[in-house]
Amino acid sequence: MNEAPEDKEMTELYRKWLGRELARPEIKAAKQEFLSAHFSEQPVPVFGAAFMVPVMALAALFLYFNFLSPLPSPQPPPLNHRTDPTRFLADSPTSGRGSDGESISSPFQGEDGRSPGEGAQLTDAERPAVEVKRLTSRTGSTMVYQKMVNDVPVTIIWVFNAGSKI
Amino acid sequence: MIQDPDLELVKRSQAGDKAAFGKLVSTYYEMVYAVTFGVVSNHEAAKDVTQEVFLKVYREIGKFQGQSKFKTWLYRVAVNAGIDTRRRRHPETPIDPTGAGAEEDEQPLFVVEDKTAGPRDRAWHSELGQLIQQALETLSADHRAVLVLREWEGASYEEIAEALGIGLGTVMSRLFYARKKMAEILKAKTRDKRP
Repeated sequence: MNEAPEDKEMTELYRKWLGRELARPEIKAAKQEFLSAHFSEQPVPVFGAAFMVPVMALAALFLYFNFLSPLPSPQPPPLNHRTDPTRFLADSPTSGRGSDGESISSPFQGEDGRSPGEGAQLTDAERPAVEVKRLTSRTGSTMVYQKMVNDVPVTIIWVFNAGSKI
Repeated sequence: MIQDPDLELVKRSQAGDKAAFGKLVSTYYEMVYAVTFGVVSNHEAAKDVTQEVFLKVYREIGKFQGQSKFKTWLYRVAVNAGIDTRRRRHPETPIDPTGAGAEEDEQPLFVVEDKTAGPRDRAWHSELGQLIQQALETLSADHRAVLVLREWEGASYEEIAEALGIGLGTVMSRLFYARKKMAEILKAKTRDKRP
């Protein structure tokens, strides 16, 4: 349908006026306010199914592997693979004094030696604070010393040539 | 089946997806605002009507059957809400005969804005909005609805007819009348003010 020139002029006039009216920034601001008030993305509810199902599944796995699992629990290592600072300090017949005046235990005997308390049943109080379960070196034989410094166990490991496994 | 680009979002909205409806709001807010402003000619009222339209459409989106495009359905709801508001605020008044039927003026109705225009020209253009609003005041809400859908939205006669629930002939006659009245009144009002 052809429009008369006057109609085109009228259209141009009208569109120009309406375009200016609709360019107001308040309109966009009102739109954003309306959208966020009524139709924004809803936050995931913390106690909703979408959040709680994975949490419960993780909790079930944790309980199963920690308390209900039929797998054997880890066994404590043999006594000759443990270091006990109190034992080194108290029981060693060769304990002496270090350069700082503190007592230093005698070297811990590896596989070839026998630990002082080997074969004995240890009470909870006697159990070592730090355990060295397995120590090997390709460089040479190893020896382990431990001592307590301000209630903190300090472990010293010496490695010699022609190594062997402890 | 009508090809409707909004159908997917409409279906999600019907299933209760607020975010999907938010996308429809984001797409059509300006359109609904333009239509309602074109009818009510007041920004505050247009904002209220626009937001009421979307809340109503969201409440009733389950009733949308897809027999027309969502956009056309939205036109219908927006235009009806605008017309209702306009009628409540301004009961229909007879068209102001001032300037109607004035002698033909061969000068152009409107001079496109010139960036180099002087202060006198700018002053004349600044009055343009008021003149158009005065001219629009002489039109009924139904005529204003047809005008905004056609001249601003570029809706086809068929879309306008469907949105307003009227025949094609009525759309054309309303558009013709609205343009004629606007032109007559603007000519009369601008004749003495032209720089």
